[in-house]
Amino acid sequence: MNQVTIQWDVAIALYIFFNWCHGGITNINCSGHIWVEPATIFKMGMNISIYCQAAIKNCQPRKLYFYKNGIKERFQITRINKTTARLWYNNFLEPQAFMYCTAECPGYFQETLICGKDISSGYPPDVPDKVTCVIYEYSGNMTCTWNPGKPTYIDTKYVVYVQSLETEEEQEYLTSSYINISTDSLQGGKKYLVWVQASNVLGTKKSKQVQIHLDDIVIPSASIISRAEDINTTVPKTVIHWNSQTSIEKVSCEMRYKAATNQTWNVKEFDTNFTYVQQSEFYLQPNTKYVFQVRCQEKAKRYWQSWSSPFFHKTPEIVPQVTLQSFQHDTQNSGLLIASIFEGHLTSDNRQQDIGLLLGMVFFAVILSILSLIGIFNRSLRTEIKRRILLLIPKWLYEDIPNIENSNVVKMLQEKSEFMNNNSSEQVLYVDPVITEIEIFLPEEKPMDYKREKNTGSLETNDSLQESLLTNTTVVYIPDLNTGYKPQISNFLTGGNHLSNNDETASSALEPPADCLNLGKNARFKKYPNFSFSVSSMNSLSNTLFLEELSLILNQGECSPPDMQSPVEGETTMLLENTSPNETIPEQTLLPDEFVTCLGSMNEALPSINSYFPQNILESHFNRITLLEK
Amino acid sequence: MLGSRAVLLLLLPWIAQGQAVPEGSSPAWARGQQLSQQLCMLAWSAHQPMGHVDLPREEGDDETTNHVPHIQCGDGCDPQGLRDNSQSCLQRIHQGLVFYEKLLGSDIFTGEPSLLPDGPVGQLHDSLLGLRELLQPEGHHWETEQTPSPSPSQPWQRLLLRLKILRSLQAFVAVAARVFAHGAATLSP
Repeated sequence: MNQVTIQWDVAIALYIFFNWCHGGITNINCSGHIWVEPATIFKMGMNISIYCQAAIKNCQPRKLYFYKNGIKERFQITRINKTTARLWYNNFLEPQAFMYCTAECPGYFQETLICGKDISSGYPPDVPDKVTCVIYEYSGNMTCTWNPGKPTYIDTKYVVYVQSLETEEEQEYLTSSYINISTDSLQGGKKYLVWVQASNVLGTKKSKQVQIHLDDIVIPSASIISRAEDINTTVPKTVIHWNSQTSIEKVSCEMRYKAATNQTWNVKEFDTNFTYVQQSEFYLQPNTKYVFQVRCQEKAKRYWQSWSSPFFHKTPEIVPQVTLQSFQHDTQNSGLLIASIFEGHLTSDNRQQDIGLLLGMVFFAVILSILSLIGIFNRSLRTEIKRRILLLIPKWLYEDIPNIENSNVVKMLQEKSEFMNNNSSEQVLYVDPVITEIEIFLPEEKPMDYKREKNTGSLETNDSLQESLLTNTTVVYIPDLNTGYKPQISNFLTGGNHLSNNDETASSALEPPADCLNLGKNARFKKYPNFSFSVSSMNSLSNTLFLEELSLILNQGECSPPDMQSPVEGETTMLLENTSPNETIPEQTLLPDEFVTCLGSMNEALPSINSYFPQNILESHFNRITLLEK
Repeated sequence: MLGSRAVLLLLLPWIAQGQAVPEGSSPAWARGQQLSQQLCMLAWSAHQPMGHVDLPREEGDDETTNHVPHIQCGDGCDPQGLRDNSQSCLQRIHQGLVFYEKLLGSDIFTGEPSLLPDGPVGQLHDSLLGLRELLQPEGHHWETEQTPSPSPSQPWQRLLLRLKILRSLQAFVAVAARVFAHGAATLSP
């Protein structure tokens, strides 16, 4: 609370202090006198002297200071006597300056104000020139203007004198620029003398007298350009519509125009009667922006209107073909008529384009339909088209499954196999990729219903395979899990005579039906060796699993009749479809039941597009086998 | 001189010519505090552009009061007075605001040398109006002391008068701001 009270006291003290310093805040107390020689308003560029004389009670000024616009002047100050000083300016050019002077009194920290003065510089007026008095139609005033000459920078007044030539009555009108004199006040007839006198503190000038007749100085009411339209007759032309509210019957007008980018105006003159809307025709360059202005005067009179505000119009790029016949008749309605014809023509052009496009589309649809019908009902044509299409398109496009024989890898392996077979020094067991059967057997337990492969070529190969297997060669089939079709990769171990023909080796446990086997008799079966692999013994060394053949040929025709096997397709297949489970001796395989079931189900209903599933299944089972081996 | 001035201020209590504020109308102290503080800042910022002018002392202005409204001890603007009855103090502040508002709109500030229309003086004028309206809501009229309009001034005088008025205004709004700060701290409901 004490702190608040202290602050309060400080605020009150400050307030009292300011009030003490500046008790009167709305007026200035002078303590002396200031004057300017030759005058406070003088001709610009003159040398002037400003005097300051102090009259302060109980103060003998030590110094006298001058301020101009609040800034202390440092130079050209001369102390004349104890109370007076002079400030001198050479070639003073400022139109206005606010001067005051102060005194330095003993015992006072602050300077004491003596007084101040506003000074101005300028020029005497020029002789008013071009005195003009006009009466704008419907305004009710006579407007007099003049050219005042160069600026004076100081307050200058103009007096307009109007003297009737009939009554010699003279009237004076004071103004600072122009004057509007009511026509009602001009009662001294029609003829007058008018002159202007300009005056300021530096001088007075009087203009020449101008004689006027009130009827001769009327200017018609403003003319306005309302619109423009482009018409393409034989030669394209532009019609400018313009009007005025004047009641003067005989009016002369001028219309000037130019391209917006040009500087030179073209002027057309008209003798006009504003009973109707005026129309002016121009033959202009296409696709060019023009500007138009119009002005009028009472015919044979003195003063023109000022030019109307600019009216801009761009001519069209391509003027449509329009023949206008009614343009000559009714000037009031012709514009609308032209506009409607013009618009209608454009509309018809667009419509014709649309109709053409529509007709084209209909024609195309009809032709397409006819061709389609021919294709549908003409079998030979359809067959021919199909044949040609099949010839044209790549083979892989109409293959349902990848044909193994087309695989580059298979071909490579085949070549390699042939090379290896021919190389007696390296007895390497090759794995053939195009095997569609899985044949599992144990050497110790020959199947009772073993059927020898009828394909002798293949049998030789199988013999060698069996030999290799008997010599504990491990061939592991590792299908790729990621891609559906992959050539099988085998791991070869050399050992033993793989090329020896061993009748004890079973070549196949799963035998396709006769039909399919018949298919396998073709030469291509030999061409694509059977896929063979063996699995090392699982439980004991004596128990060896041989997957002698794994042929998974998944034909789109499934196990179709032989006649359905198109030689064109070139698929050498050994189908599992009709391989009866009875022909497979369960005891002969170490494959898990799921795998056998899978194969069985595949045999029964071979999907047309299922080349992947055996590999996947096999992969899992082989993995299991591999684990068991370890 | 200072002592006599203070004594004079103490001995000449302000005689309010208007009616007191109706009892029960609680002033918006917080809003008044905000506006008065803003007014203080604007008064100082408006004074700065003219800071290059050294305001000279005028001889014989000791006796000149020029009807400038002063906040005096009898106005009850001290803490005790505000606690007892704040209306007389607020009325005094209101009268001062009316006075300065009139000066800011006179030719002293609108004539030559011209000031920027959107300058600090214009903002000061608007802010002053805001605080005055806060103290005098619509429909509630305080009778204010009829202050005469300032006599027409010459341009050279305006340079000095503007400084004098702004400095006086600074002092006035400083006190007013203290009043509102005290009211906002102790008298707000």
